[in-house]
Amino acid sequence: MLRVLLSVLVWCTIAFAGGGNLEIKGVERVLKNGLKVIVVEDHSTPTVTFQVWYKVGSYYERFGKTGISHLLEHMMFKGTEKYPNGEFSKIVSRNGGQENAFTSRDYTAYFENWAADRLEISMELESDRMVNLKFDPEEFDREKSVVMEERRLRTEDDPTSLLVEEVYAAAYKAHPYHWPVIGWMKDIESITLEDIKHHYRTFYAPNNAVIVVVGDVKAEEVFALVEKYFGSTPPAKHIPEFSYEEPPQEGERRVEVRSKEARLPFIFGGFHVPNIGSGEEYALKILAAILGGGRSSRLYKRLVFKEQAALYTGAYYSSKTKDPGLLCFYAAVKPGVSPEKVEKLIWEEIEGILKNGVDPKEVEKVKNQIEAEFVYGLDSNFYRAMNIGILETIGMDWRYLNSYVDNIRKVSPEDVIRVASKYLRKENLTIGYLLPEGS
Amino acid sequence: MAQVSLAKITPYVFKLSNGLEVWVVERRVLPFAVFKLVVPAGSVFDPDKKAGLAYLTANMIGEGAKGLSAEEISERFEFMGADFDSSCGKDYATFSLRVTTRFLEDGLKLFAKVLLEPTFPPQEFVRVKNEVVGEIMKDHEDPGYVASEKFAEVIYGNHPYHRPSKGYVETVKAVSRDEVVEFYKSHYLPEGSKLIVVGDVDADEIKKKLEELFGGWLGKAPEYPKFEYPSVKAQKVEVAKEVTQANIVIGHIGVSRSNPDFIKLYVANQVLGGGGLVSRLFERIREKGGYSYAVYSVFVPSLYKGPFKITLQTKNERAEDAIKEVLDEVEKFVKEGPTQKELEDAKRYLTGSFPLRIDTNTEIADYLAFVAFHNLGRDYLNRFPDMIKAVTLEEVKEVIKKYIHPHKFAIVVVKKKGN
Repeated sequence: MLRVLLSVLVWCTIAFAGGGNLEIKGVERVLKNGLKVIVVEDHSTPTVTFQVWYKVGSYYERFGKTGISHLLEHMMFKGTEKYPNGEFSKIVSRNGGQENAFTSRDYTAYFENWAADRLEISMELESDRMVNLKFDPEEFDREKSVVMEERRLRTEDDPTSLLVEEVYAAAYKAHPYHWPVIGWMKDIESITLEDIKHHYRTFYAPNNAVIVVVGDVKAEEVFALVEKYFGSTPPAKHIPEFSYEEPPQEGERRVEVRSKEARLPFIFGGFHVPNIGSGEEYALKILAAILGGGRSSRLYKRLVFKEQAALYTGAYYSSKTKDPGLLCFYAAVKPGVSPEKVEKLIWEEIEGILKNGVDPKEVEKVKNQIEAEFVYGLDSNFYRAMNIGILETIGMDWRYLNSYVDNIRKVSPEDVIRVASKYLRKENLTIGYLLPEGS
Repeated sequence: MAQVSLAKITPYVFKLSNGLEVWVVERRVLPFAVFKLVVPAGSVFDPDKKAGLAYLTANMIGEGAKGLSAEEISERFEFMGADFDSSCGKDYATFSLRVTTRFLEDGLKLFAKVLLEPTFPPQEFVRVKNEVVGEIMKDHEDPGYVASEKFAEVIYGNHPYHRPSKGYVETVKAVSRDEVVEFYKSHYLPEGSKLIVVGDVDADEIKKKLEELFGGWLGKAPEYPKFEYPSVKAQKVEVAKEVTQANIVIGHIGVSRSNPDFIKLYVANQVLGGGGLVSRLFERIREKGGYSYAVYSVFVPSLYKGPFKITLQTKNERAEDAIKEVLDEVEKFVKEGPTQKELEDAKRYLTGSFPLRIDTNTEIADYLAFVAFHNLGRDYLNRFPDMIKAVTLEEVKEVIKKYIHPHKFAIVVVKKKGN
């Protein structure tokens, strides 16, 4: 059933944690041109992940040109003078590598995973496309249609995704988290070659990037290679900075999506909450898990087991965003049940926490879960590098990860109640219903 | 390229006194382990009118065990930070546990109890049944799911692969609790099941523990029955749905995993439409045509002959053009075969990326569950690269002609009416 939930989770990244006796042992270096490099040596398997993270994503866009960062990510595979269109992927493939890229609100990242001795190929290819991208007009037009197909696939024809998009658009009115990472359809269509070249030249530079390497490598050798391939790339003179503040919400916001293709109602909601670095993120993480993390959470026990009103339900919170995000909840409404009833039950559970507090054993359970997740996450080079990359691109130090579990352990039941009463208020909520047309 | 060492992944295989086969990989890097039980109880055993019986049974595991309610089971697993998961496909069902070393002892005990002493509480049965019905309704919101379900119905005739493993709303509703209990009693048995263990364990110690916990479970699972396949014929089916994008599935019945040509087809398919960002179909449909975000082809590895299928999506208006291009590309591929260079590149990709697909405890357990079920041998992970390397151009040309027949393709299109 987890798979069913994934479509809901696109907006908030996976939980992470840190601390205990296990830690991420990274070494870092900053080149003269501003490029930061972080290496974690792990010799347990002879593989490596190489990731380049750029501080650009939909957060750095403007109305009318939304989706430009993601479209640029696609163009990054369309070739340079030295490695024409398709060459990059062929080289990676015939060397047994996996490659891809992903764009988020706060960052864009490119990666290759392969045998550790292939690392230098990553350096050669990524240093080349950091500055030498060729923008062929025909390729650009074709890629635009590919991205529009991607939007049809992931959003237009997926009613639950449409709902999540609507809720974010309503929750944020003055902040770029308002629009989706993939962009609005009309915006994607109207982006020009000049727009995208400009976006590339503005944000793709060594002083706006972080390289993360995790695997069977020696840090000093990695630093030498990065120096060799990226050292002579000039930094950008000016990287624009943005600053937004979503004004406090003064009343509940409600949206609905009516869909002919929806078969069952779905509820998705979010409360504005602080993000990483606020000091409140640990208590919020625990609050979200008590409310809706797993089958023994309050929402699941009430909505699925006791009332049998939902197919599944949950709540989650990711603190790892540049600006404050949402603590979200969702419920897939069971056939024959009204979404109003499910919403009422959700509120009863929230009020239950506010009135009666939380059980220390419940808090202990959630802490155990977060610690276990941290241990499981350490098993993958890719996932560790990803956590480092996210922190660095949202303006945090990756070492934050290593005290995360300890900080989670320090949270008291009172801390949880405090953040719950501060943020789980109706006037701070945006809630959306997906309604099958004709229901 | 450098030979990436896989020697670390040779499982220790033994049988418990009750015949349960156990595969253990000691991987003591991090303090956790993954357990995965494979039970030969997939939806191929479902009667047509009770399609969904096997899936419901698998979903009832963890919903009540001797002395423990469904809620208590979840509470206990989650207090340990452990993940318990069940799944049921067409061939087999799996149950997995991921648990930290700190809670391994208790977690494993609970895992065994949940699997071997299920109580199928009537009120939970009603709830789970309604949930499955809701899940099926929700699946039908996804045009990709609708296309792939219809494709299976079209190509498989009366073979049980024509049904989705979850069944249909009406057939799931028709299943009784007694039938689920009976299905559990007759199919969830140690001889024929396989248990995979990967992570922070000592093989000898875990053997003792498993004997204690699973040794009293007795019986032999039934053999898989034989089924007839319908004859392959060209056909085109359209399903109307209010979508902005046509979802297209093209293909026919392929081969079973046990077919000696499977690996050759696997390599051949990598050139045509396999994983990664390099393939003939990816190049033609996405890179040259800008038709689709995703396009791929696959021989689904299965106990019976699995489907060979090509999947893509494009806006409603371009559906017919995209289908023509796919057919043209496949015909050309079957006629001429790949070039020597394409073949070598595909082999290098498959052998090189293989270690990346088995580099966490969970991935190793998943892969070994598949290997154990299909009896591919305990050294399979070590032999795999050599099997790939041994495939020749002549062999590839021969098998694609033998197993891919574009003129007999079934084509299923889910799109907006009128386009």
